[in-house]
Amino acid sequence: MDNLIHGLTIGSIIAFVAFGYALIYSILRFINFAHGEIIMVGAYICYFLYHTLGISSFFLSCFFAMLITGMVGVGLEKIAFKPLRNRSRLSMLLSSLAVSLILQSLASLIFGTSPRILTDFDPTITVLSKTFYVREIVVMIVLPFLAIAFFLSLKYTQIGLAIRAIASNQARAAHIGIPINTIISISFFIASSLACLAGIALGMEGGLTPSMGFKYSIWAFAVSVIAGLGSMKGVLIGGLLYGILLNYAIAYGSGLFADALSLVAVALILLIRGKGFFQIKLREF
Amino acid sequence: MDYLASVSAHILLYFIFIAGLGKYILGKSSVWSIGHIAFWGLGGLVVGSLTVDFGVNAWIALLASVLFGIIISFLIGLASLRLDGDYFVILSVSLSELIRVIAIEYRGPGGFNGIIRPTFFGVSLENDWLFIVLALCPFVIATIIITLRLEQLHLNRIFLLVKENEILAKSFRYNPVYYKILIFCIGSFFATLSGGLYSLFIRGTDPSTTTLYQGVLLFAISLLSGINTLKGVLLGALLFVAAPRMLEYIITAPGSATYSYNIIQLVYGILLLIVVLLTSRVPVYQK
Amino acid sequence: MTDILLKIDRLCLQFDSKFLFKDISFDGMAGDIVGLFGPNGSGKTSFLNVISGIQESTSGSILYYSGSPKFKTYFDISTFKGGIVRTFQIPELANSLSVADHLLLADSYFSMNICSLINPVNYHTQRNISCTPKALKYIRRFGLESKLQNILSTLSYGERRLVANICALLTGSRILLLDEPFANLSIQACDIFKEIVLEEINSFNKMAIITEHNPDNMISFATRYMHIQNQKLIELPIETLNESKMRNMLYTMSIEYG
Repeated sequence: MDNLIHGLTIGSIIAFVAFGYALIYSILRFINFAHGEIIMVGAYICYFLYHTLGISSFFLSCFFAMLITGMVGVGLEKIAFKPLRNRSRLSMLLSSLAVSLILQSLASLIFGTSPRILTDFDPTITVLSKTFYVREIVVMIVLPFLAIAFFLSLKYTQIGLAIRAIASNQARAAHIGIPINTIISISFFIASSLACLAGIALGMEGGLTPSMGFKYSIWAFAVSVIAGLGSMKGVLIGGLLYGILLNYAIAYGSGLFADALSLVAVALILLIRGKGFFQIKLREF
Repeated sequence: MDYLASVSAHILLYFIFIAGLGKYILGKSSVWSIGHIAFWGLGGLVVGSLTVDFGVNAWIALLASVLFGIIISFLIGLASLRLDGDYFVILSVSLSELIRVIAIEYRGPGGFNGIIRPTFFGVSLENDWLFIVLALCPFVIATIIITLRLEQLHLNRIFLLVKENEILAKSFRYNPVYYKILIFCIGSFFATLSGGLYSLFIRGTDPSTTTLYQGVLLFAISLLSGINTLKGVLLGALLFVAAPRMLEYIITAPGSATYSYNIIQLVYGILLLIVVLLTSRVPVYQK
Repeated sequence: MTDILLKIDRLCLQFDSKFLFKDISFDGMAGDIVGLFGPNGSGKTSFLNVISGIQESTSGSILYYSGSPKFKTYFDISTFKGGIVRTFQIPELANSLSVADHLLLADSYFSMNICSLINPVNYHTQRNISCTPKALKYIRRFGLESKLQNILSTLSYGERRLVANICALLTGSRILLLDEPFANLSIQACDIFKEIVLEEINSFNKMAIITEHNPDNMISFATRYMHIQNQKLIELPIETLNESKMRNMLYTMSIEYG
């Protein structure tokens, strides 16, 4: 049962991250490799605010960290992705890889590679004689709320409509006057803030290291593939399931076993099924 | 170890790798094998474990590693090349990480040690230069000959057709998936070969050569200079081997080796970003 | 003995809730040259898309050579029995390859034979001929022999279309779907192409569906005359195509029909 909860937590974080990937993918049709590093960036920003600047309230630090990380995401998009948007997808991919390199090395240079402690408190609550970490509960609650809020707004708000329009056909959306740049910036902001939240949760659990985001990146990729690239619904459910299974694999085997198993599973799923489970039906002609 | 020999060997080995990735995979197909370094690592891993743990003859270990590389690339290709290229990219990157992690788990971050070099018809290859001339050069020459020869076959035409226009290829009844898988396997063959030879050269494996960071750099270099001519491939190899050494020379940073490693990584990242932003305007790279 | 190469039964194509065509049935027989007309947006190209497998129909069935390939993608259909080949309104070509390359790639001999893959037909090096006799014959009739080694991106729009059309004929597929093959061609080129198509159709028992805007191109060439309009496929007697007075009359009638 503990395993299940822990798996759900890991799964929630993976789902958060994968969700960010899916959001950006569905709008821009490219895999933003730098997204994994945003988790790390967000966590370090929170660290900076809380420890270095000494903001007394942890919640405030988190809040501002999310805002700042969101802006960082937007800024990255403007510098590294926007100029390449109408060029080639491969360029955007390479650019995101370059950004990921830059972010990782910057973090190593500024903060060093030894783990930093984000918080010395890691509160737990005990319910029905089982102990849970508060952050686990928070993440597990926030995720469905966010999911519902997001999907509702996709369906019922102007912005949501704009996002759907851009996702289905960017050129036409621009043609009918949707402010693509604004919407894309907003999406990056959302995705980056969520990643920051994930980073903070991770930071509370372990320490902060420059490469903390990378591992989750790879897992988020696996989920993205299984759920179908760009499928935001799929990654939320898939992420949770994946987290649970991953946790069991780690518990019974090892981290390596889990990684190997997941790659094999992804490959097998693709081999047999030929696409993601929630894949928007793309006609392969 | 003789410094010049080491540099020469590195150049020759990366020449083979970049030939596989640049000339074949990027030049003759639309497959983006960003994690191609996986096969370099795989080559070293298989050669290392077979020779050190099982005492297999080095040549046979090399052969085995190449076969293994082909099989793995075939499976990955089969799973993902029927689909949109992004799926393949993910699998490619995941594979490279996986192999790196397996190598570290299996033998630690220092990799294998004590790989014994093979003999060449009885001649010991312990001397670096002897190894280069008798073991590396033949493979490099073979690579060059095979590459040039392949371009004269009708098969080459099909590869280019599939790369450029899949619908037209299907009209002519060529299954694009077959050809993409084939070219990917060929590219992986060269990568595994070069990785295996590398481990024979340094008498061990070095997992630090298999990080995604290195893989991405090699990918970028292959893309930028290794697609058209073999001279370009050589240039790419030279660049890849020389650049870090020159940078290390220039950036004599105070502090630990990790510090300069990170600075170099940062410089590479920035350079890569700049190059990508600039060359994106060149039509050749539009796809 | 005319065999039915293409049998379409109650085919429907629907986007969201709007039907592009509904319950279309059609039998295509060897020797048919079908002229397919209709206003812009009526679904001619989509019809060809569905038959060739590039687009999936909403309902209905298509039998090719009295059978059905296991998967219905363009590739599967193009390799099924007698094959199918499709040209596009904007010619699909490989811009960095030469005319000779296209001809070699298209020729059915090469795509059907594994040994031919490693056939060392020289790529860049030989400046003289490198294509099959049949392809050469066709190229010569159009006067394009001098352009054999030219890269496709250097050709004019009409020349590109010619190459695309010729390649379609060379694939050996017995069902030809040609989407506006006469666009941008000179009158002489059109005539030559029509001769070649007739030869192919009669010698090899092929059939062709040709979409066209201008009926003049299809006079004394098409054997069947069809309209797609208002979600339906209507076949009119071939005489109405060949007789311009009758054609104009029926044309105005069919507009009112809608």
